[in-house]
Amino acid sequence: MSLAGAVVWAVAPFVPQAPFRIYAGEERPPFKIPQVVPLIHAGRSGGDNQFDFIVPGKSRPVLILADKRTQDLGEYLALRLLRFSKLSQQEQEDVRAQRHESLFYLKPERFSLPEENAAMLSGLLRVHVSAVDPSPCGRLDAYELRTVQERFLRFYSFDLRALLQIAAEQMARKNPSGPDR
Amino acid sequence: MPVSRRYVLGNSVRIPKVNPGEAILVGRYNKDTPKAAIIAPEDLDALEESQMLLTRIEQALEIHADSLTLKAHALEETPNESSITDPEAIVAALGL
Repeated sequence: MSLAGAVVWAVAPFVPQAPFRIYAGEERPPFKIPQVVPLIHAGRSGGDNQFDFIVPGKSRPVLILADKRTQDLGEYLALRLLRFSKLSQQEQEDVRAQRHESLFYLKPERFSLPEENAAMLSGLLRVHVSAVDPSPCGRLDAYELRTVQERFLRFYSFDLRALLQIAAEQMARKNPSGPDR
Repeated sequence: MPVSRRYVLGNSVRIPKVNPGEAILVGRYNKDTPKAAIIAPEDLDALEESQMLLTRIEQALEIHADSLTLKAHALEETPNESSITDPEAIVAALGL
């Protein structure tokens, strides 16, 4: 069964950011690289230099945004969840009332999670299948999932004008005068 | 989402006359949370036709993961077998 719309537990690392920490064997502490320039230079100079970056990560519940490519690519597209214990009372009320389109409220009675959460449109993750416990803690229905996916496209301002135009033209061609009465 | 049809005999329910282009919302107490909506059969056909058309357009616009896509993903998303972890090599590579 598809996991799109399901909340599952997964290992979710944070994205690398400066200062970058690079593993340098067991004998010495990691290198701390304060800026990206030397790393970019090492990449540009050729030789396919690869380092082991040390990044923080957590196992946490995530909302699977799409699994259409999971079979092919071995990955899910997911959103991090915002825990309500990190919000003020007023902020919690605002999210419950769906006053923030970028935070999709997950009704706690439908999700077996330690606390109330909202899916963060800003918290996009690619998660490898091996890093996911595929037993859902709950799931969105088809309409809710579509809403989240549409909001995601709007949040990142994807330019869909040409796509919408193609769809409208195809619909007009198939059905030039609208549905028959 | 496709709509599944369920037939009910007319003499087992009392349905008001519904005109094409009209939706009758059936509620119990609260108008904001209707229990059901009644529409004319031709409107249901039109709705389903629109849904099928959208599905076909969606399928036609889909980008498929062909063999080169998969090869590219495997090539660029798989780390090398080993990374540079020798401190001197790191210093040299990064010009530290």
